[in-house]
Amino acid sequence: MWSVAVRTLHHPEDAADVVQEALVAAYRRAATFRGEASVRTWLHRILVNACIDRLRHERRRDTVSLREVEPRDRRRDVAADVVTRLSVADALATLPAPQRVAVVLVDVQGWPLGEVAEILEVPVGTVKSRCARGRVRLGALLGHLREEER
Amino acid sequence: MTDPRQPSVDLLADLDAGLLDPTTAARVRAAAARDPRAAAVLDGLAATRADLGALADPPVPGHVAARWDAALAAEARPPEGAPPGAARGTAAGTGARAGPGGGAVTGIRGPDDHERALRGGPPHGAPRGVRPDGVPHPGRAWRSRQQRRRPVPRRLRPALVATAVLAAAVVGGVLAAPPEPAPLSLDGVDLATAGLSVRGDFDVGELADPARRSGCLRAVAPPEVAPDAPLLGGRDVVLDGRPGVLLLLATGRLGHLHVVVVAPGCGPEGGTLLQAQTIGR
Repeated sequence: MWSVAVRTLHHPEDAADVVQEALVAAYRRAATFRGEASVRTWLHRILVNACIDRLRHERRRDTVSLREVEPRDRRRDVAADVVTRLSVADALATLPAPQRVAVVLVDVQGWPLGEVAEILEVPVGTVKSRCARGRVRLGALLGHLREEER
Repeated sequence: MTDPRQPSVDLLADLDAGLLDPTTAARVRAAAARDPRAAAVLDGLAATRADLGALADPPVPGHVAARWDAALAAEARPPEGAPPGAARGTAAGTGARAGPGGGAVTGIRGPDDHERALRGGPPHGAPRGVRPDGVPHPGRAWRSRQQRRRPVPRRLRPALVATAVLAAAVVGGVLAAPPEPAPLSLDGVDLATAGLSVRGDFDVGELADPARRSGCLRAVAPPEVAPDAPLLGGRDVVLDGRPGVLLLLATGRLGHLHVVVVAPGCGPEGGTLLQAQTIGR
């Protein structure tokens, strides 16, 4: 949950608040859990909704303007790799909330598409579409998709 | 739709995401095979996914974990004047309030706010690790991340499981923290504290097998512990110099957990109970 919140909100304090909020909410609602989804799915649905609410209402995202992030050349050395790792997190923060959440759950966390669809309460195709659009944007920011290819 | 003979980046991304119907996907894939630009885009998308999959899970800062523990502990405490066994947190939600650990418990606005989060969703789709078009996700890191996910059992007395998992999740770190490889020494450590610090590990060796675990618990018969009590965590420990396996088990009662330590090798054929304690109110 921490990882999902940090990657989605890109702000540790917000992430800590939202995870706590989700845990307390889930605790209070535990008696209503009916087992239609796994506990993991149920918990993360609460968490993801809390993250999205936070993004929409508080607008405390530590965003990076697209103009401030230049596409990188592909680099192979270790030092550059570390830089790339950092930039992946920054690049994620530039995605619109629906794309960001989908990419975090599918590509970063490695969750099955069906479970992500269940968490987000959207069809699997919508999850795929959000991931596809998000990857194109991230690919450009990370230097994997060059301008002439787009 | 874009001409599949010169697929656009978006169309290639749709292909990469398994979004196209089989006929269109085959056509776009064939076109991409003849088009170096398209091949570069697909490579770029795969590299992007690999970068995302290689992102490490950030560690949970200690003060944050403590804050969550305190918040849930506060939920489990009965309000003043409540009858014994009444937990504060199971009542309807209240407004935002300060957490006892110093952090703010924000945004708890009441049951209605969470109804949306608790509604059911569509059934599962693609199998894990394979896109719906049957193409495995590229990226070694992504696959290894997939492989190390722990399965979560379904339909085990749902409300009980949810409550118990929540109770143990934060203290046990199911939610975040990585397991520690070395046995945990319990010397000088209160068993309750140790039980609550198993960090959600399920590295309990053969006792991960429910049949063996229930056989073990039946054999050693720790007081008040049901042999089929759900396992919430556990790990290898050293207790008074003796190796053991600590099990954190649900009791079925809010705020109560069993901590049981048995000697290695415990099973239906027998075992040794090293220590047992029920923690909570």
